[in-house]
Amino acid sequence: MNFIKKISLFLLLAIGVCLGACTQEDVSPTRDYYQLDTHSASNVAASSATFSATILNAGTEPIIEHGFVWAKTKPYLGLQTAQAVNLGKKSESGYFTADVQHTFDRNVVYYVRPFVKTGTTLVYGQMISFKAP
Amino acid sequence: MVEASGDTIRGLVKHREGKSIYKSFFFKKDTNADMTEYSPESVVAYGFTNGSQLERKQLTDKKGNVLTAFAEVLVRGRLNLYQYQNQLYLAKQGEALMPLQKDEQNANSTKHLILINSLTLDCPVPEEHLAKMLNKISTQRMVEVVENYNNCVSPNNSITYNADKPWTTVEKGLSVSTHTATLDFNTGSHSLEQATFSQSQNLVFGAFFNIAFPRTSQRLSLQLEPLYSQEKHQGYAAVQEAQVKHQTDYSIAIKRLAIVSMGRYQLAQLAAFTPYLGVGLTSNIILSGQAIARIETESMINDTRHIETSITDEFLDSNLKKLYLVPTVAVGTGYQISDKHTMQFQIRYDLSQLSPGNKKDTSRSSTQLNSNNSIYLTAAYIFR
Repeated sequence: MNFIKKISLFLLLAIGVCLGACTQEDVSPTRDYYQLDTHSASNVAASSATFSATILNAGTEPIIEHGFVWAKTKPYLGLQTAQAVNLGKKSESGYFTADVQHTFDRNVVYYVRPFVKTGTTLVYGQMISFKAP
Repeated sequence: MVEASGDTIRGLVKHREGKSIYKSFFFKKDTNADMTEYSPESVVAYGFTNGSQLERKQLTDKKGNVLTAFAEVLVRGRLNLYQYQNQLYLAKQGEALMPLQKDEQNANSTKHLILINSLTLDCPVPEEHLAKMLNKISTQRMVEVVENYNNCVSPNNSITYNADKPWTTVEKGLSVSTHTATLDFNTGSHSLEQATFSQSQNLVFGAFFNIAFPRTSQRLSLQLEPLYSQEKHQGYAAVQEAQVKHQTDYSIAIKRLAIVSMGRYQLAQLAAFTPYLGVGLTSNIILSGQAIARIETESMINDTRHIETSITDEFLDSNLKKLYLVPTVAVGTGYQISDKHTMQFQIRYDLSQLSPGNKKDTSRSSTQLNSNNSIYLTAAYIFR
């Protein structure tokens, strides 16, 4: 009978401990490049827009260029093929934004995405769309 | 217990459940004495104070075997009602036990009703009582029939054992649990099945019901738990192709309604503690499943490493299987804090891998979600 009493007490203890102490593991490996998260375009007007993004993690190399690229078409939206705003070097990860002066065609869908460039790597964030009013 | 000589000896009878109570019992005169097993050959009757009474009887079991065994006395009076295993018997005072059974080959059999009528001719059982037993012999209804008859022919001369115990009791409560699980998908349509998911934890809120049958069993009961949870799971998959590497981070949010149905066996009643074991099924109903996949595609262009990021929420589509059943096992204990307050603590494990052989079945049209190593730690407050 004592055995069952001990088992009962153990159950109580185990539940109490696990309720407070169990933690969640992370299966996603740390990247050696910067990861980007694109935010919605704001203040979109016929001749201007504000783009913003966040660098989610710390990379292993210094950032020599960062900014945004945009175009009317999705494919090949990159530094070589699209309009771009280059904000230059950046010393740390985190939020960044750019107020862009550009004449956008009305009611046309544009695509934009942020980029970060280091000595060896060019990272593009996910593409989002917006439409000039 | 009552010995063959007619002497009654008071002591302690070990509590047992199931068919074994009809074959023998273990008895000791006091807590320090050794247990001895007694069979119908050496003992006339045994029973519990204010509880069940069993008498040695010669009877015919369901298979037609004539044997001597202990039969439980449900009602004693001019007409007696006995139970041996799941078979009921009627017997007038001092007469042989007559099995109360339907003809199994004939659904319309009224053999049992004829027996009841023949034994209650001097005070017939009302038609409406018999009508209720036309299709099924119910122990509860038979107890009422025999009580009514005994009180009719000899008022206040009927004893129903365990009469103070209800046929059914329902414990009700509210519960909160932590649910620990690792997701796994069986799908032929996406690299989702290659993903590894981390063990995640979430809170689960629910209700708790324990349906007991005190007259039938003091230890067996049926436990039902509707549980609602909102879960978040993180997964990762890496796929290397010739020139390109895809790394995908999955973020999946699930709203789940789980309904647990368990048979529960109470191990003992130890002061404030009532430990138990449970075995049953969990019905998992996925109310909604929302998922985001962040895909990072890595390639080399002109000696520069390019990383392209895309995010999609379209991979966990409407084909997600909405309902699946898994076996579940539990161990727990009730804990009586005071006369009015009872808590229950339980660890329950869902055995989710029912058919590992089908894991990569590409012919599947639906996405099967499994929660591996799914453990619930539950604390419940029981209302009085």
